[in-house]
This record gives sequence, structure tokens and C-alpha cells, in this order.
Amino acid sequence: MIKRTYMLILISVLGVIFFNYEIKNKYHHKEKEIVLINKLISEKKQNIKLMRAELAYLSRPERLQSIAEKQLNMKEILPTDIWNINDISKLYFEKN
Amino acid sequence: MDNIKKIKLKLFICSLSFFIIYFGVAFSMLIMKPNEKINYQSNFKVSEKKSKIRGNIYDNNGYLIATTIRKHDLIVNPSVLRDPKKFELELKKIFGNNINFNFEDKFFTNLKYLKVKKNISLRDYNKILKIGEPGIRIEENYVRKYPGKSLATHIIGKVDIDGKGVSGIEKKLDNELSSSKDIHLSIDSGIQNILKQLLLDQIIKFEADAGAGIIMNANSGKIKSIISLPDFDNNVNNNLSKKQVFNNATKGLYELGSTLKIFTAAMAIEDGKDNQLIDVSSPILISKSHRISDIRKINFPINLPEIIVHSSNIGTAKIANSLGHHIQKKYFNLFGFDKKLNIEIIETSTPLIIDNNHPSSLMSKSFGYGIQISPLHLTKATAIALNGGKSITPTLLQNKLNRNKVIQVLSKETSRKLRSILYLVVNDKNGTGKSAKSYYYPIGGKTGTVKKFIDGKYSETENIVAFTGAFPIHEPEYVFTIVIDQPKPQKFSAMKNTAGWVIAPMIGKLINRISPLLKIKPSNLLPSELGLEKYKIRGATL
Repeated sequence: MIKRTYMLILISVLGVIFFNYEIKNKYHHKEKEIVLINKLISEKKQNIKLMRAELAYLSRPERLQSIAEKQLNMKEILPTDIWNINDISKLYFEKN
Repeated sequence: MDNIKKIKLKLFICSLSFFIIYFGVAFSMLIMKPNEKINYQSNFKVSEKKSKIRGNIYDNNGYLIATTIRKHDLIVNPSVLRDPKKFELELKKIFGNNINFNFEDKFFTNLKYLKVKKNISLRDYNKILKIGEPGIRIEENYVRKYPGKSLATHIIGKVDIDGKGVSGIEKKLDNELSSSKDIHLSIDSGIQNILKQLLLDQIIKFEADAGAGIIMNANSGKIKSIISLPDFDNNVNNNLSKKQVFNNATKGLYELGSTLKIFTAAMAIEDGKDNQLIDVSSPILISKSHRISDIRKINFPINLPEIIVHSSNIGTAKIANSLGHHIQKKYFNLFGFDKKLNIEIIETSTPLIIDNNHPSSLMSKSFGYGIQISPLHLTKATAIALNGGKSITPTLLQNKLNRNKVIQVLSKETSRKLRSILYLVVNDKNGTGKSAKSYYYPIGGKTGTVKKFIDGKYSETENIVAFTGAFPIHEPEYVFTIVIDQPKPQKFSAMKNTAGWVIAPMIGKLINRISPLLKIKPSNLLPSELGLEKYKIRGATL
């Protein structure tokens, strides 16, 4: 009777040890994963930053202007080309 | 009995081993694990500290002006290379022939650290690792980049190799930027580009030395654009001349001449002296060699608006003389000519003003000689004079809480009268700035042409020209100042290099182009509907 209890206790202790080991192991793995993911995130963030800088470099006003002058056959905007939406609707209703 | 003793011993041993194992496990869980956890966390902290990089700078529309990006440098330890010849060949395969390291050379084999190539991609790094040589690694570095190149050269400034600001905003707001805070400026990159182009056009046309331009909100003091020419690309670090680095717009001090007549007129109107007629027919003799005279000879008494429109030095000097030193000094201080301007860049200067009680200095200061101010000082003073007399604080930040109390420097009526006079300078047929006229926006402003002070005397040929004003003049929203240093007379300008010829033609163009960006609607009001005083201006000859 007593021997059986001993055995039970022993087995449960071994079980607990194993269980503890498993959890610890998993925990370590996850921790490493987190480090890796964080590294990846900062990497991607850096890449995004680089892309943003690239975008700003390509869309600098100086360059856009020279491209627009070359490629688009358009005139400079005159102040008379700018209309208030209310003025346009007023004109429209006056006509009809 | 023996049996019971045996059982007790067994029980004791069992429970002891149980306790040992139990506490062993508990110990490993409680003590060991937190230890490792701390290790991991400290790893995180280190990597985060490294990634605390300098904040970005944006313009008013969110355009990226300055940013910090990461780069990888390839580092090789040549002293541990096993097959230097092969390694060199492999490197050439990857990077092409512009890599010239003879690793077999004695000079290299003694080295422990060699930066082989800056800014390599990680793909190339992997290829290099596959060569299989020891002593190869990459170093992470951060570089400050300015995608707009020379878009806002002098405002932004530069950083040194360690990423600390050395000039401009980078220096003044170094604390915010180095703690990863982003900064949003009130600068508009589109306007910056337009102003720079137009200014550059005039400088090239008139073979001038340098130029400066400022556009500022007349009511809030938010600066939309500051240009100083010549400028440079912020990404370039070497071969910069002193002239390129110097900020003419905020650091440069100039005698700005007739533009300062605006403020003498303001004093006169505040003092109720705007209606008296003044004789300007004969020059004022100060000493044998020095006298005050006018370019346009007018041989009948004229009133204040006519003095400003014809830009008469004699008239202004006489008005100043009747006001006295005390009032002039008081108003110059109110306009902010007595101290440095506190804006978000370090390059500012204190104006130089001749401070003596001689009437000649009083008179010459009234039309802008003997007082050196920066174009930014002039812009601020113009804003105060034209925005209804309220004091303002110039700023480069998009959202700045203005803690300074707004003081009424001039009365609203004075400001309205000044606007009416400056409207006539541009729109009257006798005005000195009539080529600044725009058909879409009512503009007001004042020209200024000064003989440049070179080697202790005023040069007869070299000029500094300036133009300051506001638009739309009936309800000023923005003030502008343009200064060009040493324009040369040209054939197409009838051999003249005055402000009316050099700067005024670009003002109309400038305002037509930037107003849509600033969301100012073209005015369809008749001149009589602007709500300005109607002064009558007589021509120089009756």
C-alpha cells in the first residue's frame, strides 16, 4: 500500500519535471521568436523609411517641374483658372 | 519494532528526496528563469537604444525634408585572410573593377580593420560570406539624408558625422530631433521652389552676387519660405564656399534703404503729421562732402503719401527731423530692430544701428542708411505695419503656441493709411514699384535701392536693392521681402540697377504663381472698392 503511494508520488514528480521542462522549452522558443520578429520589424521599418526618402527624392518640386515642362503640354496655372465652387454653380443656375 | 523503524527510515528518505527534487524544480523555476528573462529583456533594450534614431523633418504639406536612413558598410580584417588573391578576385566579381585593394600587399596584411565598401546591400553581403574567408562583417551606420537636395538649404542646416546638428534647425532643435521627435515646419516646399527659381532668374539676368527672399504670414508670423542664394545641396559636405553657407536672409545685415521709409511714415501718421506739406526742392546739406538729395527733382511742396510714392529722401529726412530721436528710437524698438529675432534657426544677427544724437544720423536712419538689419527683420516690421499694427512673432514651426502677448504697435487707422500708400507705390503711374503690378491680386510694397558700403565709403556703382510689401494689400495675408546684392546695370534695363528694375518685375509673377498654393482667391474688386484711402499723387513735374 505504502509502496504504491511512493511510486505514485515518484511518477507524479517525474511528470511535473517533464511538464516543467516542456513549458520552459516552449517559452525559450517563443522568446527567441519575439527577438527575431522584433528584428524583422525594425528591418522592415528601416526599409519603409528608405522608400519614403526615395519617394521624397523623386517627388521633389524641382524635378517634378522639369518633368512636367518636358512631358506635359500644359500652361502655367493663372489665377483666373481658379474658381470657387459656389461661383460655378451660380453661373450654372443663372444660365438655366 | 525493527520493521516500523525501517519503514520510518524509508519514509524519511523518500520525503527528503521528494523535497530536494521539489525545491530543486521550484528553484530552477523561480530563480533561474527570471535570470534568463532579464537577459532577454536587456537584449531588447540594447537593440531599441541603437534604433533610437534622429527624427524626421517635414514641411507644411508633409513632404519629407530630412530623414535618417540606415546603411551597411563592409568591414574586412585583412590580417586573417587565408587566400587574399582569390578574395580580391571574388570582390571584383561582385562589385566590379572599382574596388582596388591588393590584399597581398604588406600594407594591407598588417591592417586589422578596413572599410572596403560603404553602403552595400545585404544580398552582396551574403555573396561575400559565401567566399568562405574569415574576418568579414558588416557595420550598421545611420546617415542623414535630405531628399529635397537644396530645397531648404539654410533653414535645415547640417549635421556632423556623429549625427549632431551643427547649423540651422538641426542645431536649434537638436534636443527634440535626437530624441526621435519629428518636426513639422511651416515651410511650403512648392513655394520654396518657385521663389528660388524666380530669384535665381533675376540674379542671373542682372549678374548679381547674392539674394534673399522671405514670404511670411502677416497675421500668424508663420514663415512659408526662406531663400538665400547662392545655396548648396545639403547632402554634400565638402567644397562649400563661405558665401554658399552664409544665410543672407536671416544672418546677413544690410542697409535696406528706402524700404525703411514705410516705418518713418508710420511714425509720422501715428504722430498726426501726415497732412503737412514739405518742401523737397533743395538738397539738405549735412557737411561739405555729404548731402541728402533725391533722384526725382520735385520743386513744389508735397505731402506724406507723395513723399513715399516718389521715394523722396529729402522729404523723409525732414519728417524724421520734426519727429526727433526719441520717437524714432521708440518705434524702431517696437518694430523689433533692437534685438535678435528668436526663430528656430541659429543663424540670426542683432541689427547694427548708429546710435548718436546728431541730426544727420536721425535723418539718414529715416531712409535706411546707418541702420543695418536682416531681411527677416524687415519682413517682420512690414507685417506689423500692414497687418493692422499687431506685433507678431516669426516662426518656422507648423504648430507653435504663441506665448508672446500681442501688442498693438500702431493703430488700425495708421496701418490702413500705410496700406493705401504702399498700394499707390505699385499701382500709381508715378510709383517706383509699378512693374510689380499684378492684374489678379492687389499688391502693395516699397522699393529700396542703396549704395553699397564698400571699403569705408559708399560705392557709386554697386547697389543693394530691396522690395518689401504685402498681398492682397487691402487685407494682407502674406508679406514678402526680396533683397538682391550687387545687381549690375544691363542693356535691357536701360543701364539701371534700381529695385524698380531688378526686383519689381518678379513680384507680380511670384504672387500670381504662389497665391493659388496659398489658397488666396484672385480679387475682382475695383480699386475704389478695396477700402483704402484715396490719395492724389501729383507727377514729378506739374
